[in-house]
Amino acid sequence: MMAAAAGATAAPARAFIAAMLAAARVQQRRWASNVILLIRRPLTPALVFVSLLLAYEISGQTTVPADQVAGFLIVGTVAQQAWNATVWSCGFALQMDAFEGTLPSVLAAPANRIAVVLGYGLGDLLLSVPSVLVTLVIGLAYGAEFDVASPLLAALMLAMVFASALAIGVACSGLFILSRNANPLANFLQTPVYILAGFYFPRSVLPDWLAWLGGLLPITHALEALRASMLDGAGWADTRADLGIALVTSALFLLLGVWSLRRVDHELRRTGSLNLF
Amino acid sequence: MSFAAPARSTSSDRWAWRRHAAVMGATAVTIAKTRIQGMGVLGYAFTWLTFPLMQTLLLAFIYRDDRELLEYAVVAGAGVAILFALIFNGGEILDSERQRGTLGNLFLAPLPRYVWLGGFQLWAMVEAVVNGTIAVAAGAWLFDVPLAINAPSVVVTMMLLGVSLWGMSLVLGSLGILARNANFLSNLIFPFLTLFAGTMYPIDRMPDWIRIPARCLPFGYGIDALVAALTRNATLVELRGSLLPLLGFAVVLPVLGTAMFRMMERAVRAIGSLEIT
Repeated sequence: MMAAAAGATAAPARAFIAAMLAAARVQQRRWASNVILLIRRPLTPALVFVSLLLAYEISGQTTVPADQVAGFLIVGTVAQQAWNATVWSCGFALQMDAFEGTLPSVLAAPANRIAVVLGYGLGDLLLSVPSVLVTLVIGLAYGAEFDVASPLLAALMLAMVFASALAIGVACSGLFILSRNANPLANFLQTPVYILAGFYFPRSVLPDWLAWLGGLLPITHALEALRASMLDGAGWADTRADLGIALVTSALFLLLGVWSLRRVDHELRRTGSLNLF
Repeated sequence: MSFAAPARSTSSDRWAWRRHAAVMGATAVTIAKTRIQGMGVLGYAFTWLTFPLMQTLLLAFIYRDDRELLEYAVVAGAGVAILFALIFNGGEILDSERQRGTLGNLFLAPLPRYVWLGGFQLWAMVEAVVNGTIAVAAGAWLFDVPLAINAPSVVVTMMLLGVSLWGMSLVLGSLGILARNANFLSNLIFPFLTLFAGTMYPIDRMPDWIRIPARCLPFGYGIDALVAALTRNATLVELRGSLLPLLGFAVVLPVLGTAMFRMMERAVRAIGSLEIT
């Protein structure tokens, strides 16, 4: 009896994971089908890094605020990749299906919508791995210095940056659809997050209200913890607070995502139309 | 096809230019309506107006302690707006029409190609100028940057830069048709152009590997001239070092763009399909 109950619980979990992995494969094939996208993926962050490094160099700044510029920017560029990947894959996922005419199939499939959206995000994040490596190599070539006390902690914080971006992406997916302005919103949200989360300059230079707004984003805290663990030799105790806030805010964004996707589902059934998209 | 013959203008028709100008204007208005109504006013503003502003903000926070660079960044915001509009609007219009299934009808319209193409690009230019003006005005207001404007220099610079970028967007538009997705191509090219365009830093202060290729492109000359004309009241004579090369680009790039477009058109006719590749 207990075994049957456990099996009944495991089956939906297996179906969720299977749907997520299938969506991840679809997302990867979408990218792999176009050579321009494959070339662009590692090139763009590398070029952004070089442009910003040059901007810092001519302004005579060698540290930001106490970290070496190249190291500071490398970590910010990695966060930018996590953010761009999720806002366009997770956040924009269902809208892209609508463009490509595959949305009815996705909605009719007996799979959890969140699994599909998470899968799109996951597939995109995996595609980011080579570009993150390219960025790191270019950063090292430009003399980026790292001070890592615990490689495990740094790896965990890197995963947290991607996970927090994924949480925001899931929240965006339903909200974008409900707004009926997915493309403009995705375009709009890209750069403000660079500013609010301090991807390329310290948040301490922001006006108080903007810094407060940035503090609501999980990626802000995950990024600060990543910087501390990769550039300042911070240990577990030093990053605990940022990690905790990143986890809590990520959970809140995920809940927002679950609510917004249910709301999308409700609207679809209520109106009986895909014109919602 | 006999119905098309009377509508087609001939060289002896002395009033043809009036009709062409009217069609060009109507095309520009149609494109404007398609873009603004398609995305909604708010969505349009989110996508097109905020990007240059956010780029300006991002740079302004980096250059916060260097007044000269801060002023440069604010005015270069106009350069970002122009570049963004011409690449993502001007360069993508042809492919957008192809994706909507209306490009074939345009090719068959009883008008010279350059009439409707001119209308498309006219709106791209208007958008670039309006966005650039807003970016500079907002940046100057936010960061208290004093403007000392030399109107003739600004007008001449904008005209030459606009014509140069129009030619370049024709090149990109043709390549976008060949690539079957102009947006992917724009996203690939934009970071390269940003690196060499001088929208993030003055080209003269860059190392040789940036400065030399940048001097083979029109942007750096245009943005240098624009910064001087907007912040130092520079006259046309003072700006000749930037404006003369820009004039060269304003002649060469439209010729190159026209040639590329004709090549693309020949390929379309040869295979009888807009799916060239």
